[in-house]
Amino acid sequence: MTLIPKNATNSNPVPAIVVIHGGSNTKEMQMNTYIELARRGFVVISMDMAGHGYSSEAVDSLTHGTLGSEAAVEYAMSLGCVDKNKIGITGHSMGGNSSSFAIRELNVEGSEQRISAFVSQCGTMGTSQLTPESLKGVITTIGVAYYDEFDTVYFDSPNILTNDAGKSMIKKVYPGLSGNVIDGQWYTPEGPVGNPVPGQALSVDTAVRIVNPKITHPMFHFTKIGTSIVVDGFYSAFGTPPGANYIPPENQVWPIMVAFQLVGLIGFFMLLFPLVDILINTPLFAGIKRNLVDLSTTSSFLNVKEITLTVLTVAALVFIGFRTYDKYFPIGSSLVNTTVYSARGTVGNGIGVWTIVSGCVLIIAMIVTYFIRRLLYAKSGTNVSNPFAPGVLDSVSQFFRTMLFAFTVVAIMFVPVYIARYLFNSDFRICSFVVMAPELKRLPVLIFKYLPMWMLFYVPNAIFNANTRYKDIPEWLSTTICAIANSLSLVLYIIVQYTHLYKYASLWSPKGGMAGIAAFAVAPCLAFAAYSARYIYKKTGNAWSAGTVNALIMCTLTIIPNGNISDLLLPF
Amino acid sequence: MRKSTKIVLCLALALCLISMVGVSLMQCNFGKTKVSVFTGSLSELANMIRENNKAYGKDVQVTFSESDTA
Repeated sequence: MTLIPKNATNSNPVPAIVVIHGGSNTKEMQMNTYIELARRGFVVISMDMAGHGYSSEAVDSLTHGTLGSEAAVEYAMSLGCVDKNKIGITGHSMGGNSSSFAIRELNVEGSEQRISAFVSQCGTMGTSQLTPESLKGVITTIGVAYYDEFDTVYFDSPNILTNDAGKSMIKKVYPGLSGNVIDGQWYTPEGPVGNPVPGQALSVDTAVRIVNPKITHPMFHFTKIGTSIVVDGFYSAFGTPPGANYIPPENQVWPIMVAFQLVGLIGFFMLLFPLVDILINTPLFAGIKRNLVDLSTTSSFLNVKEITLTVLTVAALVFIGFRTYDKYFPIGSSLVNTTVYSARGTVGNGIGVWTIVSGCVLIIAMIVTYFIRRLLYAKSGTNVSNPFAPGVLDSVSQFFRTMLFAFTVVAIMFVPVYIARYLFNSDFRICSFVVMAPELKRLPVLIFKYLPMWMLFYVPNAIFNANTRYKDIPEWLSTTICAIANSLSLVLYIIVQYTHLYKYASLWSPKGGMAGIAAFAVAPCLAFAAYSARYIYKKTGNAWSAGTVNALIMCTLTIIPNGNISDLLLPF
Repeated sequence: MRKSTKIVLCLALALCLISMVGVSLMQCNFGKTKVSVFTGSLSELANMIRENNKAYGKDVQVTFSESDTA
């Protein structure tokens, strides 16, 4: 995506900035950066890294770690409205790493195609690629988040200003550094210099600084402070672009765009309910309807046995979900043959494997509670119904119609998403929780490789949901019990992981950095799934329809932003 | 179709539309920024660079691989 502000013309070339998102994200994830830089008069190119978003996976092995950023830089240089001697690059996380690789590739001795400004947003690992030669003529800002989920583990980020990792970064430009690094201080080859006048560039062409804000890894591209660091880094390198007005870095409008994206996200999920209502009453899908369980035969919640059993079941599901998330997400992530610079599909696989485990646990829980109920109610003669009854279908034909129903609901839900993409160049999201239009060529992989993992969780989940009904408490309360059973494990994981991070500046589970970040998106999905499953089941009496609709939506949301979805090694 | 279904459907679509228009306006800075999207291959990008060189009198070298397959 190229953004050219009005002040940038062939007769008034301005600096250009290449902006790169992090792993398992897409170019839109850097909207805070590209919006703020473009409105300040910079030409901006925000790109999908190879293997991400709508980028092809095939070029990945050809880009020597730059994942396409080198190509974006050269394209920026070629534009008529760009001053080819003023090219900046910035990236978050893996995008920061690929930025460092681009600098390593382009800023070699004798080259005239050099990058002259760099802001690393938590791409600390990639800075090891930077050499003193490659940093010549570059105004470099290395943003290392104090509470970074990864850098606390690998670089001791709370102490980056005093440890060897931080000092060695500065010494690549200023070998004479003695003592500790000062937060935000510019260092030139001759020594420290003061900040430039706001809106003006530094008076030198080579300088480096480390900024160590007290934020987490994803917060770097989702907070005003992170965005300010990026904007200030490029103002310090290039000054105010010619023909543009200086806007203080703290003056930011991107949160308004976030609000618009969130509105779309709400609209997307709201669509589910009327679509189910409309489609289930069409002749094609009327046949998938089954009878609902009669409430008069369901259990009474207000007795000690039932309350105890319900509480114990939910507690067991939450506890097991909590413990297995920490264990199976990393295992799932590691199933892909990947390197640190090619972390394709890891979030999808991590969640997918945990989803399989959770689905199996749920099935076991339903079987166990069924037999416990039979024991509890044996003397009273109360009939304990088959817990899998809501999942029983009349025929194979009904099964396939149910699948078609689920696919139709979800396909129609995605129509506005495609319109958003092709007509408005937008999508629906909040931070890394993204609804974007999947490319049709990727659907077979999504359906045949990934969807079965999600169905193994969401279909039993819908059956469990259908069973968790009581004749003496309101419907919303029993659904909320299901929502808690679904999502509390991840809410607890977030609380434990981040309380530990903020209290001790280290992760409770050091291998769970990505898992913790992903949990922020997965937890609300799981809570929502309880309500949507109940709604669909009430309309259809068919737990397969509820489970498959949820599985399709959640699988698509998890997999598509990863771009490359062909890496899964499980033999589906 | 029930009235409540119609209302929810219209509301959901309206929210989606508001989102699309709002995001689009923010991206283009209310018309002050031209936004374009390139979705081609690396070889197509390389050709664009060469065409830009000719059009704007530049000499940007294409140093990245133009192959589209691994």
